[in-house]
Formats: sequence, structure tokens, C-alpha cells
Amino acid sequence: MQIQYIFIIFAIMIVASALFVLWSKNVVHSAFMLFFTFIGVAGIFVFANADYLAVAQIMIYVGGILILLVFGILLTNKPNKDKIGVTNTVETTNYNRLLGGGVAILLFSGLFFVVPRIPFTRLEAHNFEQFEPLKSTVKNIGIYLITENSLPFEAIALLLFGALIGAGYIAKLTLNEETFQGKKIKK
Amino acid sequence: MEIPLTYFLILSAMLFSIGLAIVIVKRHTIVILMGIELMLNAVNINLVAFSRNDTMLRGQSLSLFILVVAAAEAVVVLAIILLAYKHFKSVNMDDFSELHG
Repeated sequence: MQIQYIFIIFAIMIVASALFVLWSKNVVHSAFMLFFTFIGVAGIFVFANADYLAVAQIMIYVGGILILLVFGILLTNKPNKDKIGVTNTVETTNYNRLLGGGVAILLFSGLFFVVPRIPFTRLEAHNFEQFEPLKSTVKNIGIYLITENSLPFEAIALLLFGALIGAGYIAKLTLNEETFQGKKIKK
Repeated sequence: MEIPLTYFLILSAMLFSIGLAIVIVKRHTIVILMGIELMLNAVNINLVAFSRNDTMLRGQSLSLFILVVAAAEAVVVLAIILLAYKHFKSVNMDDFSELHG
């Protein structure tokens, strides 16, 4: 019974920090709160027997994407030179609050009423051959990545290569007067 | 002792709705990207929960690919945001309304 309470603690952590991102206007605070969401999702993965994915989630999301987001915030922020000694805050404006909240609440209430009524009987444990207790999934993931899932694996490799080259090329494009058909760029 | 599948699904529905609300409500480009990441995380929770008893790990493999696609997408989107910031001097979505053919 206690393991359910731990699950609920993780769930509360995820939802509370995600709601903070929705509520807060300060972009940097949102980025730091996203850390708790990603860590919580990694914890949820552990509850679903996905130990490798939990570690991958921490490495990719917390160590990669979150750092990238913080770098993005830093590089697109211009310090306010008029007010010296005042803390610079990066703020976002909210827009369509009622529409956004309404759509989200509608979607959630629909899912909340539908999902518990679906009988997922095929997914119950006795339909599958059983996991050995305390067995890691790393070996099986490795085997299936290069046997059954080898085509998506290669496709992912190509996608990453393309993203690497594309991001480098896009970020190094310099904007001079010729780039946008002779139109002067405001400095 | 197993946690019911419904718990995972409702948590994922909650996270997806919050991400959708962030994408609709916020105007800062990077915060919109955060909302998209939250929605991808919700999808990942669903996939992992469904493949919880599966020794073939089909859902977990798909979830691994989603993780990689999310990373690639974040990199490209941030490069585009940096370029747009150079041009428009702003990261507000409403300022990106000018087209150059």
C-alpha cells in the first residue's frame, strides 16, 4: 500500500511544478521548476518497470534539454541598461487565459471521465510472460534496438545527424543587408 | 503490489492538459517550447505505462525514440529562436508576424 503513496507524492510533484510553469510569469523560474517535473517523470518511469528509460530521461531532459532551454533564455535576453542595480527579470505575457484554461480543463475532464471506464484487460500481467523479479530492462532494450527496431534506430541516427548539421547551419547564419533582400536590419 | 494503470493514465492526462494550456496561453517562445516538452513527457508516461508488463518492451522502445526526437526538436527550435531574435529583437510570438518571401 505504501508504494501508492510514493507514486502519489511523485505525481503531486510533477503536477505542481507543471502548474507553476503555467502560472508564473518569470521565464527563469519556469525553467528551474521544469527540473522537478522531469525528475518526477523519471520517478514515474521507475514505477512502471522502466529503469533504463528513467536514467535516459534524467540524462537527456535534465542534462540536455533543460540546459539548452536555460542557454536559450540567456542568449535571447537583453539587459536593461537604463535601470542599473535593478534585477533583470525575463517575463512572458499571458494571452487568451480563459480560452487556454477552458480548453485544457475540457480535455482533462473528458479524459478523466473516459479513461477509468476503458477495460484494458489485454494489458494485464497474466497475458504476458512474466518478468523475473528485479531484472533490469537494459539487456532487452539493447537486443530489441538492433533486431526488431533496427530500422527506426537507423532513422533516428539520420535524424540526429540532420538536426546537428541543421542547427549548426541555422545558428551561424549571419544577417547582413543582403540577406533579406536589401532591407535594412534594425540594430 | 502493483499501481493501477489508471493512475498513470490520469497523471499523463493532467500533464498533457497543462502542457496544452501553456502552449495556448504563453507568448514567450521558449515557454511554448517548455509546454511542448511537457506534452511529449505525458505521451512518454502513457507509452511506458502501457508496456509495463510487456517483455518485448515495444512501448519502451517507442518512448526512447520519442526522447531522441524531442532532443533534436529542441535543438533545432532553439537555433531558429536565436536567428529570429537576431532579426526581430524579440522572442514574443506576436512580434513574429512579418514575412519575407
